[in-house]
Amino acid sequence: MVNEEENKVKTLLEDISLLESYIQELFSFTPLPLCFVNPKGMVLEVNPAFVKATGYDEYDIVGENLKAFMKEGDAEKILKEVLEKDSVKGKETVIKKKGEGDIPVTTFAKSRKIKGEGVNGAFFSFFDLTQVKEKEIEVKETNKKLEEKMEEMEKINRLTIGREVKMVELKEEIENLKKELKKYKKEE
Amino acid sequence: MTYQVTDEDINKILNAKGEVRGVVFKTDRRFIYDKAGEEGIKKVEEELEKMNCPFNYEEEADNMSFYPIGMRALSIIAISKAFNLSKEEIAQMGKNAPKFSLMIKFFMRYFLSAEKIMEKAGEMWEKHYSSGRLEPVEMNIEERFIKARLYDIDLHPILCDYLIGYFSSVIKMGVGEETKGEELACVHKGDEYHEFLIKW
Repeated sequence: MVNEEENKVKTLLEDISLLESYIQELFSFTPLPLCFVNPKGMVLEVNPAFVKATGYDEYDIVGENLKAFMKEGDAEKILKEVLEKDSVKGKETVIKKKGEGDIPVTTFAKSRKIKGEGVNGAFFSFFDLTQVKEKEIEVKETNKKLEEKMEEMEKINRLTIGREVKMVELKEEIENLKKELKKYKKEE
Repeated sequence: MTYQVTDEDINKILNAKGEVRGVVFKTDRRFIYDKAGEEGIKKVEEELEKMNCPFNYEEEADNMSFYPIGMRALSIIAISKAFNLSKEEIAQMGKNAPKFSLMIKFFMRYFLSAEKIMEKAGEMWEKHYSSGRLEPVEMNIEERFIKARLYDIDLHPILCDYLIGYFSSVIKMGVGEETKGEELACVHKGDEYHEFLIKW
């Protein structure tokens, strides 16, 4: 009987260890920066992608408040919203990198509930918008250049049209003058 | 070397009654690896061997299995010897431990407030250790402190320094603010129990 109980416990412990390593592998595999925070915003778990993106050591992130790694005021706002509404989708903010430079990101967050205990924290994931933002700047610059070109073209166009109208007017004037000249010649 | 460890100390530690979960050695392994890689692990294992307590962190440490409680103190002593760590560095090691402990992840749901951690402190201890008793004795939210006593644990003062850091880190996660810990009473100084004060 004791052996049977011991075996059950052993099997359960093995299952927990397997489950733990599975979760760890999944958490480590994803290229998306992820973290789990408690309702006070303290980071309790972070994945390697988050560590890589921010440049901070895992020791410096876990146990610290998420607000230390996000644009001022945003972590509190998003956390408040996710705890109230259960999830937050696509909020733009900025993750602070160690040293210089920030990463523009879209944030997704989901609260974690435990049956009978309520909300005990939230998962955060961040989609790096650096390339999107770079492309946005490129598109803006290209648009600006295009607008300038269009303006130039319009100026040329206005000038060309003006010149053509003038030519037509001049032609008419010449014709009129020719007619007048003919009249004078006849009268002489 | 900050800590004095005699053969007599080692014998006392090895004969201590009780067990500890292997998760603590996993956490130690991570600390050593992050500090000095595989070479560091070898160094610590050599120190353990010198204390007649050979242990292979990679092969022998299993998160949920139980080991003699003395191994807990000996592992920290071996680490302090291998890297010549000061009391402050041992406390820092203790501070880092809950950040990566699997067992602590089971308790994450209680890291909501100082009150909740106080309520579950004893249970958290029991999940790690089969002997000793952790009892919260006082909490003052306005004055921002918690006092807890640890009974029936008499291993080595190095564990006290480690636990100061460990408890400070756990409370910090719950209250969301910086914490500072100290030991007010200690069995190694003739008191009947260890008493820890954590302020934030």
